[in-house]
Amino acid sequence: MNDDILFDALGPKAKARLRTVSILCGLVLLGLLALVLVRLGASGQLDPARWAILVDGAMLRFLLQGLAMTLLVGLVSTVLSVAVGVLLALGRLSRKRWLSWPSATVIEFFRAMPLLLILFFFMFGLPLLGVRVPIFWQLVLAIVAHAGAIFAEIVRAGILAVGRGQSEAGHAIGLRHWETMAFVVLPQAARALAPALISQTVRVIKESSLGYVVGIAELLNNGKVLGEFSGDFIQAYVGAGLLYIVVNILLSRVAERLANRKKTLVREPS
Amino acid sequence: MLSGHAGEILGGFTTTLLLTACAFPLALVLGCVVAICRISPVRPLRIAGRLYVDLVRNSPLLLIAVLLIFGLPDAGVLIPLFWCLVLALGVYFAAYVCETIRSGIRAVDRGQVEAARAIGLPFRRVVLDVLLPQAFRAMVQPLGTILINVALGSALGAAVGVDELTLETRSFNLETAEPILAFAVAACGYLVINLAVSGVVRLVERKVRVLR
Amino acid sequence: MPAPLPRRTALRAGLFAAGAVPLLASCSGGTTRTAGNPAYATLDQADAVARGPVGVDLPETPTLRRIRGQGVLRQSGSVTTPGFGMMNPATGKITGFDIGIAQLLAKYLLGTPEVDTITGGADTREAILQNQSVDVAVCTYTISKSRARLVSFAGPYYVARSGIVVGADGPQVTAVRDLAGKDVAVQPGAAQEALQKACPQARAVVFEESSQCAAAVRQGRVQAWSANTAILLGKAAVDARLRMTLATYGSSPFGIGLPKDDPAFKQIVVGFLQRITADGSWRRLWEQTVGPLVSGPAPEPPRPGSVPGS
Repeated sequence: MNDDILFDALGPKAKARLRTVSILCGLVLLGLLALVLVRLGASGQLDPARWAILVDGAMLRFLLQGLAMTLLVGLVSTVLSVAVGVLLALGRLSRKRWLSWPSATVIEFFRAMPLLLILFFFMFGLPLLGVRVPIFWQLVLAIVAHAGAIFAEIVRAGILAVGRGQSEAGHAIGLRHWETMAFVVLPQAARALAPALISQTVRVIKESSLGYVVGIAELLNNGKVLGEFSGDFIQAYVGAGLLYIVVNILLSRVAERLANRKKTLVREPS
Repeated sequence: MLSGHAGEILGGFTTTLLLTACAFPLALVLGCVVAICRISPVRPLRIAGRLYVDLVRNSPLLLIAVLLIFGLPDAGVLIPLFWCLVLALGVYFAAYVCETIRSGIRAVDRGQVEAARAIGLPFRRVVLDVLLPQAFRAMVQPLGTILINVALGSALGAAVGVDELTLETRSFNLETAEPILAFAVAACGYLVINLAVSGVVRLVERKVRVLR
Repeated sequence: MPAPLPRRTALRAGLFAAGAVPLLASCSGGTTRTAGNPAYATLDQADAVARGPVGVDLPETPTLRRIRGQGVLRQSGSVTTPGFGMMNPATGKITGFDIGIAQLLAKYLLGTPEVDTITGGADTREAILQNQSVDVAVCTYTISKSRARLVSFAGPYYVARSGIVVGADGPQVTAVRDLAGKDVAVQPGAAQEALQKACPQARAVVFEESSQCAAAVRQGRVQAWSANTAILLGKAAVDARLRMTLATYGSSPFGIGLPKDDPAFKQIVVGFLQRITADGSWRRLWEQTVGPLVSGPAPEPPRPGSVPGS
């Protein structure tokens, strides 16, 4: 890591100074936090009665049901958007014009739109084409279109990062273009893409919060219903937010561990 | 149909541009501060920086916006909605800027820093003349993506009372019941922003590219 | 920090179940607590629905066939609108006037009040009717000519008046024109339309939910909040920092949104509305939902077809 080669190991004096600075910084940060809490307390936001909704079994169950739906949307959308992303990336890198141009257009269009608008487009546009899909899929399709386009660009960057020599070698031993891609380039790109895959999952889980537009009972939507019923909507949102954070951090940690294990496995032979 | 509302929709587009123009620099500054915290040797700052990134990056933007808009006044700070949204966008995307900066720095070959220190450059010049210029090259593309995401994220204003492009087109739809037209107009607006940003990113990348 | 309080909350809800809801204002006048109106938990239209009519000899139409095939009426509604559709997260039960109308309609069509409520914003009501994600929309849906191009309306079944809430020490507002030049919180849809029609000079600040509008007034971010009187009274009654003004304005005719392509089904729903207004179901429903939130006797139900677009 570059962080620690920027300066020499600290001597005793510098260490002492660093300790003082650390303590001071710590105190300032804690002070700021305390100030915010005192202010919030003064306006009654910290009143235990207001937080009661988050320890009430029935209310909590309602939030967790929302979380389950969020995870379901997240899982389905991740799988589909990764598949769509890889296909779009390969399409864009294809040598055939009739394939690369449309792929590029689709990627650029859906990357450029806010998800909310894509969702509206699907809701209003699909019936015009005579297509009727359940609301769950209306949300998932919109997320897949948006996240898939974003992921396609990540995949493309990953593929381009694999040395040219690799694909040239593939061609040299007589593999076709798609064979080179499938057996030589993609497997190498996939390794570099492992962390991106997780940030993709986290992104999709966060984007599923737009489910309120089509009335999917996902986490943020349920948090909203809880907040409107109790009137303590800030507390309900904080509760929902904590669940998002916990789930996403867990996901990232698991992924980091997996990625690390994979890396060592791969490096050993060299 | 559109001509009667052209003024409002153009106004919404301008607000979207303004939101983006205010929030992105804020995200840059805040992101740099958090990045400095995260690589500084001061432990409380490192912890705070890490906590910030973990908290912010893992919650939906809408949540952060609502908490800031309705939480801040209860903490004694009442700022206009527009600036609340700018703050929310800035706070949210600062976490991404921070991580972009860190991975940009990591992308610089460590031999470069070692070489710079070996020829006796002081710390300040190692960072400013060797490390950052090279790191910046790796950061242009991701920063461009963040800028686009700030513009797209500002569509959230529609849910929290800021008259930006999406809200204006929604109101237009409410009045005229022309959903397809309304959202097509909005789509064009975002497409224009996006293409402009992509163009600028390409220009900057060409400027900072080093031919080897 | 959070203490286990559900028992106390339940007790309080039980106390208010006695019914004296409009008196609430005087009970909780001095507290700073601004939680939801406990009345939301006690409103219940089950009785009105149970006594509602069942349709006989209904003509076959595609929509009716679909609904009967599903065995449930899928409707677009709100679960966060006090008095019209509010879900109790603990029980999953939705109470309010709109959901009551939907349940009555389901009973009329199916024999049982089986309703599946799909929520969604004001933007997408036409879309989910058109793409048949829902069969009907009963969601404070204002009948208008421009919308009638996309969907059919049966109704009006309710004519809402908008009211105005200000902060306790907020400006004097005696009529809607006093809102000119002020920042006014509204929710998207009926309230936003009504305000823009009655006072175009007011600056509408759109928030998704009623709690957010209430918070915006309380925190001084806007000078007033305009919405349907039932919503406003429900919130203002329990919050000493909000003051309901006497000004009311406009009339938003709420209709049942229906798919455009089935005129025979519209006739069935119009017949249903005529039936429930004639046999007293409408009045009972009002008394068990919106009634406890607003004071005064039940209004005369509007006559279906009396509004352009219906």
